[in-house]
Amino acid sequence: MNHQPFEELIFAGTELSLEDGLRLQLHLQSCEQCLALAEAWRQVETKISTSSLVEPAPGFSTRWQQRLRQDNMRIQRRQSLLVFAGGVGLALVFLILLALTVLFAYDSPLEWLLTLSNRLVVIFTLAETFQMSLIILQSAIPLGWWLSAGVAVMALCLLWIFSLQKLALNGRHPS
Amino acid sequence: MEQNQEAAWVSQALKGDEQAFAQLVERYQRPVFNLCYRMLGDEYEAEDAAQETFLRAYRGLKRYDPSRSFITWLLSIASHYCIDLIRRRRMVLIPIEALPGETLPDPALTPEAAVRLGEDQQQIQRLLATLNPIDRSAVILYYWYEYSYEEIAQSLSLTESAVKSRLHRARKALAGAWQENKTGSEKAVKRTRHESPAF
Repeated sequence: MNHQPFEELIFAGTELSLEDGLRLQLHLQSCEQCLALAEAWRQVETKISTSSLVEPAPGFSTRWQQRLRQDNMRIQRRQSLLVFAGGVGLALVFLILLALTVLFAYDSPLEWLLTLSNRLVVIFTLAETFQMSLIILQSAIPLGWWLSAGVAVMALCLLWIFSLQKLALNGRHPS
Repeated sequence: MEQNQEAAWVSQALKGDEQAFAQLVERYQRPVFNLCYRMLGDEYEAEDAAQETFLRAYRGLKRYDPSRSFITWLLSIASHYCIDLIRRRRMVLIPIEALPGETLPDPALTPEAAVRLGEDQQQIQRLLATLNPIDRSAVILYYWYEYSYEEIAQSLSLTESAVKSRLHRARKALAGAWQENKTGSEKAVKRTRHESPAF
């Protein structure tokens, strides 16, 4: 016997027409297999329809807010890392370009070394001049002023480190 | 009134107000958690999936179309997330007897009622676990949320005829699993009766 059309009716999920309902009833009276299937579905449907919505443990929205904060931190960290990696990448590209420029600007390595030593001599001379001017300044400016300037520079450094940590690493979290 | 309130919370959340979105979480935590629990069958996984659903909704709030119901949009996110999760687990159809059951006892119930309810939940979860994730989601949206074929089709990105055929197939599978379960239990009872007692 072909059970397919009757299975279609059993699992239709909608109200059957009078004609289809009678046809199914007639078939169920003579077919144990379909009757068992129809009965099984009736029991499953009852089970599902009497089952209520399950609830999460109390404090769900508080836990969600905590998770959102953690997720915000993760995103900010990733962004900081991306910015850092981008900076490092740019610096590397710049250095490579600089190195290539230097390499192609000179005919031989000896010429390049001579120019480098000349530049170093200029840098050292400038540093020596700066040192001399500092010595002159040291005798001209009182000690108290030096201390105040030192404290101010330290405070600015601390402020910079604190703001870097607050904004770049931890991120800003609206309360 | 409630819809106006909801629209106001959505609009505030779009401006970055976390507290406004937390109100939406408070309002819809139950239906979202229930869907995740019915899909995954585990309380802890359901909590995680429901939290993730709200997180995704918050991040993707700009994509929300206010002409649609907010809860329908949320349940659509939850369904897709759970379906992906089950697929990633590479879950295969497991014999009905081998599936673990979860109970969610309600402190307001008497111990007997809590046990009975827990057993019922377990039985339903075992049945649902026999379905593939998309069919399971369609069954949950149809029977627990009373969604129309059209709403289910929208939520699961399917056509209406696909929803109808999936529901039909799922009903047949559930009835089959129920029969199998019943036969298994009867066999177990018979075996126990004929076995000699253990000393």
